[in-house]
Amino acid sequence: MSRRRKRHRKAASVDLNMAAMLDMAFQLLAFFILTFRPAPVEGQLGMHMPPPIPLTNVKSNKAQEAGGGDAGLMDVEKLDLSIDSNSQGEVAQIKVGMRPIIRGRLDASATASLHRQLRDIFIIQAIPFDRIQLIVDDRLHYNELMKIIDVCTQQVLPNGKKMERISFISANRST
Amino acid sequence: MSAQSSEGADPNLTPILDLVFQLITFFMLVINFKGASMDLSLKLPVLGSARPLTWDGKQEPLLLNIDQDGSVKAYGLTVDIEKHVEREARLLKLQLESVGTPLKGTDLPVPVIIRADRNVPFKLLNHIIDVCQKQGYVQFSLAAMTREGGN
Repeated sequence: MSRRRKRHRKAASVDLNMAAMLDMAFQLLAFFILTFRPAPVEGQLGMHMPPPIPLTNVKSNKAQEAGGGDAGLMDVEKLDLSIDSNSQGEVAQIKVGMRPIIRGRLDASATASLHRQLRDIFIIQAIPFDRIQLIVDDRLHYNELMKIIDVCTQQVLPNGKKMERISFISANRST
Repeated sequence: MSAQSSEGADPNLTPILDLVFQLITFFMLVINFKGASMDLSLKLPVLGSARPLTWDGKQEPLLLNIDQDGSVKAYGLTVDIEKHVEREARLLKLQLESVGTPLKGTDLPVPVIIRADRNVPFKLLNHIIDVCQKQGYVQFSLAAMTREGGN
């Protein structure tokens, strides 16, 4: 009697076919594995760059002094930073106005020196620089340019804000 | 003995199914559809101070991949920069009008993300920025790796 009951219970139990579901699950898994790409560890340097417009060339004596004393090289609002490149696309020289501040390759010590010199310029409260204009050699590589932009964006304005207004001009076009 | 061999082996598939579903869940969570718009073969410059872009606008930023040869790629396809940017700007303006937020000025309220190879010369980069500015883009994000070999 008990055997008959057991047999009856076995026949009533639901027996799901897992193989079909497993097939589908493996197909989904294969799709996700094949389309998987780890997200790159990327960052960005954000900049506000409106199209270039002619600026009023108002000069102050203090601004000229900071730029090396060359008349007509530095405006009240923008700081001109000229970047010369060698044939390999590396930095050969960086000038503020006409005054060279970095010569040779832009290695770690030169980058630190550039940062110090720009900080010294920006710390002068009487000169209201609020933007930097990079006058860049056409051959300069993006990698080198980014190092300089990085230094520029680290500068603090007299109002305590970080420098965000950076514009580019081709040195080959401006001359 | 003979009775046992005639019965087919009936392995319990439930644990393996559990495992597979867990793997599927993992891959579904980490899948990155935006990666399709990026050219991961580019060697970006390395910049420790670069920060992830915080963009909470409804419209997607314009992403441009520039390789060493100077060709601009969008979603894996080489595009003509002037036509591509002009088309994207036109579509964006139409999109903004359709949602009831037309442009107040000429500046487009969407950033351009430039992913350029580290050896791209400035001349080319300047040209691309110039093209974007002419179409009204004023916000730019220059992409860089936050550490070497992080791609």
